[in-house]
Parts: sequence; C-alpha cells; structure tokens
Amino acid sequence: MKPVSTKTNLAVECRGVTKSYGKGDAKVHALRGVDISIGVGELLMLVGPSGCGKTTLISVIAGILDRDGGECRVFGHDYMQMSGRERTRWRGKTIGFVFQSFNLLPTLSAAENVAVPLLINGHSRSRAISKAKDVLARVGLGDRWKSLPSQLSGGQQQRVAIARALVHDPKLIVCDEPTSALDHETGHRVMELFREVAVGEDRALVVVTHDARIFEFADRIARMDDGHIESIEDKKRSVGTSSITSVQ
Amino acid sequence: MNLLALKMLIGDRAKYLGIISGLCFASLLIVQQMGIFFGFLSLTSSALARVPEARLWVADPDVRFIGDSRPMLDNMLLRVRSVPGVAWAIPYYNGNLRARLPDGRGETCSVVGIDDASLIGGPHPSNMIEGTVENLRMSDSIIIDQRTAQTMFAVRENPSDPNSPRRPIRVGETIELNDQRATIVGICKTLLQLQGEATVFTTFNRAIKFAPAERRRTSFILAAPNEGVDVRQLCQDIKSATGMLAMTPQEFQDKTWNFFVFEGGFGVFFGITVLFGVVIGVGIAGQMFYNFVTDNLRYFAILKAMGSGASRLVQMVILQATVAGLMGWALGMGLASGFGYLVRDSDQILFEIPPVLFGGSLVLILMISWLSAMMSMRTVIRLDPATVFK
Repeated sequence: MKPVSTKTNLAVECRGVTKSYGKGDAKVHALRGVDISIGVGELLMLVGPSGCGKTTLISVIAGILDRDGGECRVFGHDYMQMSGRERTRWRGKTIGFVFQSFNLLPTLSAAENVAVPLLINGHSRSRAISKAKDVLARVGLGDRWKSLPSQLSGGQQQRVAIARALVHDPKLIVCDEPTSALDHETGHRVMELFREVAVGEDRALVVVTHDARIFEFADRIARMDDGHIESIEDKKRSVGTSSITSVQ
Repeated sequence: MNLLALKMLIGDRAKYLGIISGLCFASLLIVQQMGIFFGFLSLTSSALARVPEARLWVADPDVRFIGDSRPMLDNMLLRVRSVPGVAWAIPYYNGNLRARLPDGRGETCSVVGIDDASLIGGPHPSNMIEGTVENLRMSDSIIIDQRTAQTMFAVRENPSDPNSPRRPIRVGETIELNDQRATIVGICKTLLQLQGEATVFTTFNRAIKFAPAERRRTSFILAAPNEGVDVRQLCQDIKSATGMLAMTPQEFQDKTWNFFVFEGGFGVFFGITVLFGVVIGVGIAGQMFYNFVTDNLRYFAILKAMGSGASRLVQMVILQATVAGLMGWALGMGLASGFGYLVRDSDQILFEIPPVLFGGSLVLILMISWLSAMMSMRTVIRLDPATVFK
C-alpha cells in the first residue's frame, strides 16, 4: 500500500481502505483494502454486484461513514483528522449528493429543495431561492421552480436532485444509482446533463451504478467485487478501445 | 431552515392535524376544567368581592373560609373600633334562615345583614334592578337578588295547586323569615354564591332580629384603616387587642381558597383532571409527533448528510414542536373560551380564565409538546447520515 499523496490535483485518493460491519461471527467485511484515486474533472463510475461495497465506499468518500483502516483524502483532507462538527461543515460545503430515489423533500417546492444546501451553509432564504432558480434553469426546469416533487416526472425529479447537488458549487458529487429509477431515454438525458453541467475542471463525480447503458458517460469505470477494486477501465485513453487495468 | 422545518411539519397534513388535535384536546381539557375550578374558587369568595369598601375582615380565629361563619360577641365591634388606626368598623351578619313564601312554600336562604347606618356591604347601586339600597331603612325591608326572585322565591300563581306555573316574586310582596314578616323593597343583581341558595340583604339589626336568639351574633366585622396606617400592621394590632383574626380581603380569599383546594379535596379532584389532560396530550401528541419524526427520519438523514449538524436538526424538531404546541394551545383555548361564552349566564357554572391560567396552560402545553419532541429527539441525534444510501 502506497502512502496517500497530498497533491491537490486528485479529488480523492484512498489507499488500503477497510470497513466492516457487525461483530464476531456476524462481522461483514464491506471494504477489504480499497485503493482508488479520482482526479479533478473526472467522472468515475463504481460498478459491481450488490453487496460488493460500492455504497460503503462512496459513504466513506463522502465522509458520512468512518473507515476502519487505511487512508483516504478528499481534496487533501482526511476526515479522521477532523472533529465531527468540522466534518459536517466541510461536507456541507464540499460535497453534493444525488440519490437513487431522488430523496426530495415532498413538502418543499423544486426551488426550495434545490436551495437546501445553501440554507444549510447559512445563505439567506431569498439569495438561496434566487440561486436555486438559476440552477433549475440550467437543468431545464426554470419554469417548474414552484412545483412540488409529486407534480414532477421521475426524470424531472432527478434533474431537481442534480440541481440540488450543484447549487452550492461542491468540489465532489457522489451519486448513488442516479438512473436506476428512470427509463433508458430519461436516464441517458440525465447523464448527458451530468456531463454538461456537473463535470468541470475543478469538480469530480463518483457515480455508483448497475446501469450498463450509462457506462459510456464515464471517464473511468472501477469494478468492485467482495470489497475490492477488481479492475479500472480507462475510457478516456482511446475511443472504442478502452484500456483495462487489473488492480489485483 | 426554520421555514423548511415548518413546511415539513405542515406539509404532512394528516399527522399535523393529529398532533394539533391531541394538543388542542389536552389544552381544552386543562383550560376548561381549570376555568371551572377558578370559577368555583371565585364563588367560594364572592362575599368578599361584594364589599369592596372593607379593607379588613375580622373573624373568629377558627374561621377556615368565608362561609364558615363563627359568630362573635356583639361587644367585639366596640373593641375593634377602639384599636388605634381603625377608621371605621361595622358589623356583618351572614347566616342561613328558613323563608316562607306567599304561596306557603319554604325555602332556605342566605341572609346578609349589613351596617344599618352606612349600608356598606349591600348591593352596589348600579346593581339595583328595582328599588334602591336606601329602601332597607324602611321597616321589615329586605332586598333579594334577581336569581332568587325568578327561581327560588318564584311563587305559584295558584297557591293551592302544586302544579301551578310560577311567577317571579315582586317588590312589595311579603315573605316570612323565621316567622317574622319581611317585605321585599328591592331586587338586585349579585354575584353567584357557592351553594347557589337564595340571597337576602337586610340591615344587621334586622338580620339578628330574624335570626334565632343567640349570644354571639356578629359573623364578621368589616373595617378600614385610617389614612397612612399600614393595613398589615393594623391586622396585627387588632389581633393583639382582641384575640380575633384580622385579615385583608386578599388574605381571607387565600385562606378560603386554601381551604377548598387543600382541605376540601377540590385541588386533588381538579389536579387529577389536569393530569389527565397532560397524559392525554403527551399520549396522543407524543405518539403522533414521534411518528411524524420517524417518518421524516429519511429526510433528516439527508439534511445531516448534506451538512446539517445534529444541533440544527434538534432546533428544527423543537421549532416544529413549539409551533404545534402553540397551535394546539390556541385552538384549545379558543374552544374553552367558547365554552365559557356559552355558560356565561349559567346559574350553575362560573367559568373564569384568569391570566395565570392563560399563561400556565400555555407553558403546560408547550412542555407537553417539548416532551413529545424529546421522545423522538434521541433518534434524530443518533441518526446515521449513511442511511441515505440504504
């Protein structure tokens, strides 16, 4: 295991990350020494069978789950060296989330849902709503800012969720199965939107997915199994003939 | 974030209404029962309110409440008057006598005997419906209250027919008090008394003439201090000089209320009702609020993942509980006030919402709300943000 570098051109750098749940005979090793790096400006997809540790890994990367061992730095910061309050605050400013089932607050309008990260970060309501409307316009929902989630289609709800993940200009966006609740065409459009508005020079995206139809949008695809990264496929190196590097 | 918390609360209409209903019911139960309780306490001391001129009440030391009349010797009046600092002192009679009405029926009544000279202790002139208080200077005269005239003293139109309809007794008619003639010279409005019996006003000397012959006839002595004299000090001086109990109206009211609350058992009775209100409030609202928070845990977890600290989430839950509490209290207070309005003319119930009940019920309902919130607070504090990906 190489030590983690502190260079900031890497958004995420994890070495030998382990995580287990339960105790004794019931202990489950979710991560068994994961090594992975994600560059700034990169869209990395984490794929693999259910229970292979994908969700645990993005939870560790997002700082909402403590690792048991190894090293992991996100933009040079190690969560384990932060207090709980610092970590929460840092997460609020640095990370955007997109969930499988959108997880929009049902009693809030689209604009209010999008404004939530800004409100958490202490912005005034009027400023937060104003910026939320701008971001909703960027994802093509400028005219639906008053709508409740129940008044929007699945694709529209996911676009609202993407707007929510972007509104506070986070450096890292973690997405859990962003297209699994959408049909093929809508899923495709959502990923196009991701590439258009989310991927940038100063931002990285980690997408956990089972959906092979969206693999084409990845810069790299990390395949996981049984708590390991089995291989990393670099889709950027050459069009049509991507290279696969076996990790083990 | 506060608005977000409120939208979360109000957005779930069914649960919101459930929480509000629970708190409203608890508030209604507490305010309505305590309103009756305070009304009841007012009844117990209504005689004090009838004589605002009296700054001091002198009574037998064993008196427990205003209705607990333990007559004193007549010369006690002179002894009180002789205490330095006493501006004036007058006798006051309060006793129950049997009245015989013109149709031959008998009725127990409360006879109030006021000072013959000053007529202090009688109905206020503004409360006279017919006649004047000065009419009491006529021989055999009595004044009765309107409720007495219309109900207890109402006479049969046909005295020989027990089923004959009754009409209110009128000024000028004569009744018998302890077999002695008494002529009604006035009808007044007066405060309801605890027992709700007929009320008859007359002069002190006439009252003791109506009453069975006794050596001790003065129920209370009403007095006032000279200007600049400390009332409490004067109470002590009267006590030292006469051995009697001298109290301000407030002290006598407190004594009366203490008797009914602690010795009369009414405190326990109404206390249990209030406790029921609290238990019901916590039971219903607490359960509903717990369900509400549990149903929203997923969203609280999202907020936590997005950077909301546990303290911020706790603030949101407390705000939700406070708003629900205020709404429930306001609705319950409104309903209880409506009840008070409906019974405002009742002879049986006196309903009062004093400031202490207004403020106390608000505090109690807010405490119920916060207690309900605390039941679910631990879940929010310990909420694992990693659940957002599950």
